[in-house]
Amino acid sequence: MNQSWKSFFCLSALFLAQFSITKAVELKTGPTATLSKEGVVVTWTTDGISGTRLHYGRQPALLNFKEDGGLGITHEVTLEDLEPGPTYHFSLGTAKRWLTSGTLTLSPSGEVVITTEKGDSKTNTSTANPTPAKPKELEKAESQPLPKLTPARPAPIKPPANAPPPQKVPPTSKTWGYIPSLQDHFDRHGRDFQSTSPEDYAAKAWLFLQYAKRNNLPMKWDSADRTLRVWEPRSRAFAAYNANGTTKTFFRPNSDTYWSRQPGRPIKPDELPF
Amino acid sequence: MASKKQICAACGFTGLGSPQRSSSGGASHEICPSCGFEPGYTDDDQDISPEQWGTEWRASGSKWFSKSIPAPRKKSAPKAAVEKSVRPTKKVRARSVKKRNR
Repeated sequence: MNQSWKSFFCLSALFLAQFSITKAVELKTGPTATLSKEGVVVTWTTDGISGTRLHYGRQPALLNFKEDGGLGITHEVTLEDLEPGPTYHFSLGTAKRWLTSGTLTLSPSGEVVITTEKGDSKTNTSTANPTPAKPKELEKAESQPLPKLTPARPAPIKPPANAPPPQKVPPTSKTWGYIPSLQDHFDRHGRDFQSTSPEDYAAKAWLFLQYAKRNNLPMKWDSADRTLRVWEPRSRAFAAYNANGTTKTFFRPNSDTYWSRQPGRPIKPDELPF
Repeated sequence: MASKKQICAACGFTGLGSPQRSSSGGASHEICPSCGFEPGYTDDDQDISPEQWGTEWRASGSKWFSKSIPAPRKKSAPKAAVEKSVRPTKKVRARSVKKRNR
């Protein structure tokens, strides 16, 4: 009897917990960019209190400059050292997660153009000038088509022309290690590979392993936790797999030294346990 | 025998499936469903220590992070408290003493 009551309460707790999941902070407005005396000021708002973080750099895969701000709903960072002319790539968000990414350009005339990409289609363009622009110039600028969206991360690996025919990907339950975590990994890393769904993300991670095996990509085997780590230097893709070949994670690190810091001994595909 | 609880270094959540670091220093890459800290990514790539992450998470209201793993009804209790809770309560012990005296 006691056991049945316990089971009843456990099931009820699980049922109630389904409805108590709190939504993560999302981007509400922006980002917008304006030019001030101090530099380019990027502002955005979120639907909840969160930290402020913006990483930027000349290369989409190397966002090596960082600006942080305080906690709040309105976020603002000032980029003091942007040079007029080149396009800068950025990712912004909280310390927990990136909310959006895009490009930012400061023209020699002092105009700031920011393009952002969130999900697959949202675009936000903002221009600013420290001196009031002439109406004609403004009209001309507004009539220009929006610049093509530039992803902050490199494009996915394209198979060469002589690549073998596409492989049939096993079901997600066979390729992803811990299924309940898949949604969170997809939310955080899915956009690194333009994944459209958790299943698509898991499939890409599995295909990456097959690609790595075929092309002898750098691999490290860590016998301490029986984990295989794989690296693709060209596209800067990294993945970790369990000893049965299921995926732990798949993303593109920002750090230049990420792969060299990974533990494990180099291993060849034919030595793998799966 | 109860399995060893794996604790998140950022928020103290005790329900992780594996240690965040193995003996080699390799990261588990298990995203903490409570605070979202991902060893091997948050610290090794984003350069945010578990302490920094935990501080910010608490300052932001300690919201449950995972969208797919439901939050436990009650926060995972520290190990000592969990062990204590499985011992028979005073009421149960008193009842068994009564039975013996009959």
